[in-house]
Amino acid sequence: MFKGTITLSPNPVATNPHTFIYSFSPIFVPGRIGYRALQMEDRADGGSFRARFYITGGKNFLRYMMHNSLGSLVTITDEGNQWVWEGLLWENELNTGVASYRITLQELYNNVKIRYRITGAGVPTISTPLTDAESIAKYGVREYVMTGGELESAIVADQPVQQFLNMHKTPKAAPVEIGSKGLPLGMAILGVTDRPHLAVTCRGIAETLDWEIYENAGAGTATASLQIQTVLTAKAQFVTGYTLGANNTQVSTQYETDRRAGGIIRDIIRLGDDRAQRWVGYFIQGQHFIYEQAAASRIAI
Amino acid sequence: MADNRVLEITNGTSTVKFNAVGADHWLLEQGGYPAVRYGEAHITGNDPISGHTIFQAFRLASESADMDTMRAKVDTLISLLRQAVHYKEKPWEGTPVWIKSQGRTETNPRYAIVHRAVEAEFPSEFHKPLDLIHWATNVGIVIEREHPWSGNIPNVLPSSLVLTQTQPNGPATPTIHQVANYRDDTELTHIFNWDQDAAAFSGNLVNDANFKPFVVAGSTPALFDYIVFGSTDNPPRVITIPIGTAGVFDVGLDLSISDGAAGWIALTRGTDYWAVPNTTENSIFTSTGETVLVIVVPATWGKDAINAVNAYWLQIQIGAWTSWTTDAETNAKCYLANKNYIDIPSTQLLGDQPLPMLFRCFSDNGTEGGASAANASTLSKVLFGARSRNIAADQFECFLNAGNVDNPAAWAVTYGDDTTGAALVPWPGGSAATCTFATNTNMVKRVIYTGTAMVQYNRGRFELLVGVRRTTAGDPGDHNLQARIGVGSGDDDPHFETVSQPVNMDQANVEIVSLGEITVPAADWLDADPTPVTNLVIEILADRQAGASSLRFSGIWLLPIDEWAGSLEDPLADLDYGASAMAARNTTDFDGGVLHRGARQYYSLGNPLTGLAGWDRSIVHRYNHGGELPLLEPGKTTRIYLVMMSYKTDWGVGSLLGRFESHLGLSAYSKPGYMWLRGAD
Repeated sequence: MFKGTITLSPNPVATNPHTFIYSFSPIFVPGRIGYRALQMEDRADGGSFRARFYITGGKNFLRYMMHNSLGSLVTITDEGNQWVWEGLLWENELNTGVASYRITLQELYNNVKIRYRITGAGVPTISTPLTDAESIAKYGVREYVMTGGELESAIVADQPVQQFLNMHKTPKAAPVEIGSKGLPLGMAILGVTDRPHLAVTCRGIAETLDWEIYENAGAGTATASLQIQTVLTAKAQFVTGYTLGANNTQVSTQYETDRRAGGIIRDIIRLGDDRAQRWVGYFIQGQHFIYEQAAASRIAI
Repeated sequence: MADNRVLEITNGTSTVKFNAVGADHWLLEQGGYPAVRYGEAHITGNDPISGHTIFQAFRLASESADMDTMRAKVDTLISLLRQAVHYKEKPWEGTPVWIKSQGRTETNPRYAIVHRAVEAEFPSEFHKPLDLIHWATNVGIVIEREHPWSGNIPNVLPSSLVLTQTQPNGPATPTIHQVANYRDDTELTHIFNWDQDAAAFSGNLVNDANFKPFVVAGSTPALFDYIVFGSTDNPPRVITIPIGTAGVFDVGLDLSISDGAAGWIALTRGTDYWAVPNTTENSIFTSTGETVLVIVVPATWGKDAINAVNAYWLQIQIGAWTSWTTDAETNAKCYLANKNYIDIPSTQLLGDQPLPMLFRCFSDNGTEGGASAANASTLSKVLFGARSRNIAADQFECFLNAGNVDNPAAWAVTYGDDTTGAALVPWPGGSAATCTFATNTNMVKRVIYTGTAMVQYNRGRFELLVGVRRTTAGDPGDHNLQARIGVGSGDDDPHFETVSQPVNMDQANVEIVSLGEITVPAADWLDADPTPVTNLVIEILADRQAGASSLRFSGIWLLPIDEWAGSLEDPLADLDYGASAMAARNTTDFDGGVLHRGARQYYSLGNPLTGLAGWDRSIVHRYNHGGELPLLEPGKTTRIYLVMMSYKTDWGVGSLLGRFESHLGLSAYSKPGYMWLRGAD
């Protein structure tokens, strides 16, 4: 079985992140702090995709971790101390044996604007984003664009934006089930699901490419590689560096439809190149993005 | 015949014996100790939970004066069993409960932490023996305890293991080993005292385990007297000075190095050198114990003739005088730390189960660059790799020098396009390889390591690390590295290539670039296969994408990762002053289960190199780690390799450097495990 380590570190882009720092090993003693039932998924496009595991420990420890680890950087090394997976801690579900509670980044948004049209005016416009500095400092920027139809003024337009922001700037724990009956026989995990535990879900760094909206009004074309670089530079806060192969396929530079950076990048990648070769984009250790032709010779062992 | 029988449950203070009479004690009934059945998980250890707990049943009997007394007896036992559960579940309960067991003619006892009691059975109070004569029989207890048995008392740090001497002139039976961040063969060759008034040198003290620094022919040291440490090979970088009798004096000591022109270059503490654990030069000699002097070797350190010996010299001179009462005296030979590993002999790795290990890392007290800046003495990452196979001389070697010096005889280093090896004073072994990219900037081989008939000694999985430095400023990613591993010849098949990785440093610091995992040979092998007595070839390729900088290579590490591998990693909890780095009188435990499971950092109030007294356990925090918690096989001499890394100046910024001055003191502890009996272990 897997005997490596799962390490939680502060969110790498947050200026005031949760500082829940912990390295988990497989549990030896039921009830002691550790992890079990680690599952990891990778994708050719994206790299590290999902990781799920259970954390056991005392109730106070689990509660503290539940509320203070969301958005942490998760790094998994195998028993040879080689990096195998990296991403963000996306969701915690605490099962106390009596009830389950879940807290997640899924509905987190801290930079919100609205696309609307002034009543009687002919041209739609977009509002100035409303942001929450505390949320951004803790998790990084996650954008959302609302659609407002016809509104009387910018002040009116900001009202639903502010309401939405207030509702979504801070992840909140919500009950999932009260009076848990436990897992069905056959799904139980000895020493884990028979006592309080935390079910942790992590998502790869590629997920964060969809956190920001990329806009560029200027019409024109650029090579696929250059356009990906442009989008990464502008709207990929978690990316620490990139290695981009030379793909000269021409793509548009104009994006005015509130598209997320990740969607744009994935669409460009899907085009392949002018010889109909497949290209892939994925993350490796250290939040480094690679864009290259699929099945390149770099991998040997 | 001796009777060593012990069977008791205790928390170290309160004890209930299962083979004695007395107020709190019980007797085992006939047949009240059924066989313990071990399953596959216990034998193989594959499942951490099923394989690390086991149930043990006892059937007990006891007598008492009356039922009230019987109740008190039971209460003692139940209290211990409740405490066992609290130790697991309540953070305030820090004392475990354990079983101690020893057979009649078994020399040493065994211990196992009690997790809980899963079942208890008491006779009815109206059962005739209990009712009439207060004799309780058929009292059943089923206990879940840890498996395997341990040779250590729980929660008590055992004695540190006695390591094998690996440093020339080093202590014969060290329990703490000074580990360098490279490997070469440089040794101290000469130590002289100089008497300024008598204009006389002492004899060569390098092989003298009991000498008095600064003293010549019994004279009382005076102003401008000095002691020099020299090596005719390369500059001494990490010097250990063991003081058995502390000197009593008040003088000013100045450190300097020979400049190659019959002059001296003054050194500044914190910039050019640091002394561990001592904070003043005087205290090197006025405190007992080992002091480790770490010198940042500059290119200007030259050979000079001192007492007719042409060597690289470090001078410690009495530059100011106040008083002198007692001479200091060493109690062992001075030596250089020039190995990047420790050796744990097989006789120290006891038991018949995989051993959880605790590696205690003693950090430097360096203050180079100031408290707010990272430096070579403030480590933020340490890689560990263990190997027990083929570690005899001239077999496996972890660090191979790129300058083709001090490598085992079977290894030869040659060079590709635009690359040459040359003597360079600050580099390990005094040599390095430099690639100018003058004619070829493509990804081609630059440094080629050929191990004649070395495949047989290098079988396994490794992390391949390359020490490299730019020679001029530039941007991260200007250069990339890759490796090609071949069996027989680098150009022959089969060979395979690693991924390429960028060199991220800007200038003037040795970066350690990981090229990932390699396997030698590439395919699986069986011990019954014909031994591949063929050459192992490791080629380091490099390109230059931009800029004009050359690259300089110190060497490669083949860090073993297939027996045990792990890392300690700075959680970067303090980006302003680097308080969580391994530095400045703190000690970091990497514990696979001897006391805890995980990594913890402690602040030491006392001497961090001994550290056992004056621990301030209130200042302790969890430390990040990677890989597997330390676990070694019993009965096999094992070598633990280290690679140490630090940030350049700003915590958490840029690549991690592998500077030659980085150093740790390392002790090892183990928790031997026994399936059934311990015997005389």
